[in-house]
Amino acid sequence: MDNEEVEFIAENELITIIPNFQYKTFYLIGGDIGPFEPSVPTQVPLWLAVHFRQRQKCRIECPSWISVEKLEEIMNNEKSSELFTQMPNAHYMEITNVLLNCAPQDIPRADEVKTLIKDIWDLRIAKLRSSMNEFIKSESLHAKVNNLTLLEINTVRNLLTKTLKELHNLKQHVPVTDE
Amino acid sequence: MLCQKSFELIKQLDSNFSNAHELSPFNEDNVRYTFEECKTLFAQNQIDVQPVLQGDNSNLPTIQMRHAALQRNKRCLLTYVYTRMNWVASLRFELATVVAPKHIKANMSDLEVVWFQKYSKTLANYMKSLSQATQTNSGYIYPIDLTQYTKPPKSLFIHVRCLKDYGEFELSDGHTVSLVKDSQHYLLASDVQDLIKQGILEHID
Amino acid sequence: MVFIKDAKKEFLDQIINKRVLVFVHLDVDALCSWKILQHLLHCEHILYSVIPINSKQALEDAYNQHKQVANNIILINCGATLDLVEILQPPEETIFYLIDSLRPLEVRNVYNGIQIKIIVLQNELGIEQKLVPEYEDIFDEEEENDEENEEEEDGDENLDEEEPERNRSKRKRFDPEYLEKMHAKREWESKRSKILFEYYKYTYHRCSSSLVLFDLAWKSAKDNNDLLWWSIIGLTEQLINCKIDRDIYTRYVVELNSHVLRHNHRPAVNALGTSNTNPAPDDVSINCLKISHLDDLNMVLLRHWSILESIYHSIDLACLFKMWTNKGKKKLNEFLADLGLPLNECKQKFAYMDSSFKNDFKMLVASENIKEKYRYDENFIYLSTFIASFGYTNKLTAFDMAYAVEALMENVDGEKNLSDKFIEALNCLNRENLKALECGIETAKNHLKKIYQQIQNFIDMNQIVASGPFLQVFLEEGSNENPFFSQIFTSKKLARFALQSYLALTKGKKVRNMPLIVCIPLNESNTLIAGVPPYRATNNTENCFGLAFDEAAEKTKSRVNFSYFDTSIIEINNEDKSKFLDALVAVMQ
Repeated sequence: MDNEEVEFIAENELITIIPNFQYKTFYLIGGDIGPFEPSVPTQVPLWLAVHFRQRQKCRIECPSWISVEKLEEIMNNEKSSELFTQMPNAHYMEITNVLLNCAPQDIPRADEVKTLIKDIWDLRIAKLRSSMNEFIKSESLHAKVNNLTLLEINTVRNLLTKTLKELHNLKQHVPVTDE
Repeated sequence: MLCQKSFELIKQLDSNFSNAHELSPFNEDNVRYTFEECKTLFAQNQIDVQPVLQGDNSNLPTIQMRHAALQRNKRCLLTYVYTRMNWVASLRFELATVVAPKHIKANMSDLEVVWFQKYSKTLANYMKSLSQATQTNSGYIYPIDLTQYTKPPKSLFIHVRCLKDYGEFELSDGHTVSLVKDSQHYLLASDVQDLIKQGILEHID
Repeated sequence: MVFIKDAKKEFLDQIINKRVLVFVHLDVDALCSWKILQHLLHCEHILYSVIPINSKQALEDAYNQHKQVANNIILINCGATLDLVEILQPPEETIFYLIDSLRPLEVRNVYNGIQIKIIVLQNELGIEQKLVPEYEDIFDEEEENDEENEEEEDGDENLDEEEPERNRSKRKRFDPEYLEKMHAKREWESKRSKILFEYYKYTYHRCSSSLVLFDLAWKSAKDNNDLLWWSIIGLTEQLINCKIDRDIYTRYVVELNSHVLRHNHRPAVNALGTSNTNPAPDDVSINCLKISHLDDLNMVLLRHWSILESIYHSIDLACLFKMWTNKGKKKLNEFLADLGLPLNECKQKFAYMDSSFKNDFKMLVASENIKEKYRYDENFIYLSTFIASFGYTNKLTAFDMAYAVEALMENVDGEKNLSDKFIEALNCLNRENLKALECGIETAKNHLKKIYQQIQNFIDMNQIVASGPFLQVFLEEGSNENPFFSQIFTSKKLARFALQSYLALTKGKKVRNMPLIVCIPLNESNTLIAGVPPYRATNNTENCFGLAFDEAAEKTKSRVNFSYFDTSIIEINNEDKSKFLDALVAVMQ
């Protein structure tokens, strides 16, 4: 799976916008969206919110978990705990990236938010790397990890599966010495 | 040395796909030689295995070595054919054409060409069955083309620039665009994906 | 008349759900307008094809290639001065939307209500309408119908015998009513030619196209900071190329300032764009574009160069100090010494200068005794403009951007065709592309250096001569820089710089009000001639050369090609050059 595909999946998450136009409901395969009234907050998928924002047809309401205080709290939790903690949203990285690219004006203290998200990401990836290391060394057959997001899994997916496969191959060909 | 020709096949594969990314001509000679080698080895083994069945194990190492060589040849041949097959399959998705371009076709063996056609046909049937599933009450069938996007699309329309003279191009809503070299257009992404893949249009931000 | 009253209703709403074909002229104002228009088209999902053009022939060719694409055609900064219906022969359903700053508009365009629509600034609509002559003064429908009837009658009469015909026409000739009508008709015709002569006499520019389009975006509530920045650059280009006066420029700057304040309410930055030591907490990301008004120094590309080089290449200051003479160079050093700046600091790039000097520089230049000693005033040394900051890079003034984009467009290095230059220049305007911006600024510096060098040559070898009612200067054949100087805007810049420097160095009263033409050899057979109006403190933007060239060419039957939309630049065959110039002298007396 490419990172782009993960982002594509993340774009289906719902987010609140404040439109400045009026339109009736539209019926998509995945669900209904709308109706749109000026200055009435509506929930739409992220891809649609970005589309409207680029055409200046709406303002994006920042999700409640994208705030400096909340993110600092999450980062502290992550630092103190050995295991992975629950993220406010299963696609936190993708959503913040998309919003910061398309509508940085709608996010208060956008630069600090960006740094915090990057810090949280780095923390979790470092934890993931070290836990992968241990897993391979311990030669166990399976492991269970909670609270990982799809994008993080995607970064290790290829490497982990190929490594384990190679190890398995090598083990099979170790000569059995029968003394 | 045994298995040398089959090893050459593998080396050829490696040099092609890591450097040139192009299919080299199907190495009929090496493949045939490897087949002959396998046949010879097997025949020799057949002769030599008779005494073993009767309890004489002195030739066992030879038989085992020949068997190992046989298996190695088989593995090399299979890898060769399998890798090329996968490459031909990805050709269909990369070029989005049903007909292989001439210079690539010249490098494929006859069987590979036939296989490519069959693969395209299977894919087309699959896409058609998916499209028919989208048939609405009004009878409109939405055509599904799996080879269209290699990456998820970011926007509905894109701004493209024409790299070569192409002439008239018909869009999905019936209008025509004249694709002259260096002209720039803003069109539906789905219409132009094919041309971008073929290198006629270039996506501009 | 075809001026659009409500641009949103009559233009934008008309092209929604339709395809458009856009022709963009290759100048900075048109490029900025195109960026703004592109944003508007993207917002409404209007499919388009865009083609850059340079000359009239290119417009015709491109139109013929693409005309079946769309029935709605938008022309930016090109074509408003040509009789489009005549030249392009469009089918009846085609509608042209013209956004052009060049005047005078072709009268046939203005009075063709069906196929042509012209977009101008809403509050200047009245003025634009008054500038064009009245319909009754130019077109006489009655007259045309009469002529048709007469022709029909003559046709019928031919069937009859000849004698009655002669009698009837004889009767007509002595009919008093008929005589009166002919007399009135002749009067009307002479009045008409006078009006048209006065109308077409001078070519000039009005509001920039990017401002017009920004206005439209604002009225459709689709404006944002980026569009505002582009319209500022478009306006700045008009001042750089002397298309508008300082006063008019200042008026538009004030108007744009209200928009800037609306989009950017931030704590104020100090004079040179360096922010205070304790800024108020800025809520918005550093990557957002921030624009603020600035009274900047009239020194070209100051922030990207050293002070010395910047002063050398600024046309006004160079002429003030007479930089081409040794005396001038010494005077400049004296000036810098008076300001208290050590010479080695001035030779360093401005960005790396000692910060105390940098901060005081602007104030020192405006101090009273310096101004008195070197005889300039505030308006001369200060220019009202806007400065933008985004990301962590250096701040950019609108002038820097305009110079950079124009340099990329007029660049002759490398084999680049029109489309490549168009895309490069557009990349430069797209502020995320810092590399293109830097490349543009470097190219602009090179171009300014080349122009300066050429002017130095002119002055050293006394090549600027007065011939009759105008000054003229010839470039040598076979010089490497000729392809560069024969670009549209560079040739005019060279001419203007030459004129101003000549006036600074000569004392004659007669030459004060003379225009100047520059002749640049293009290849073995052709020469480019560009003319600029006389240098005056105000109102130096009206160019009379269009009509003058036309008359001179007709008189001498020279092979002249008015290939560009700006009629003061022509291409002429070398053999006809001398007789053309003689005729030009006669015409302009």
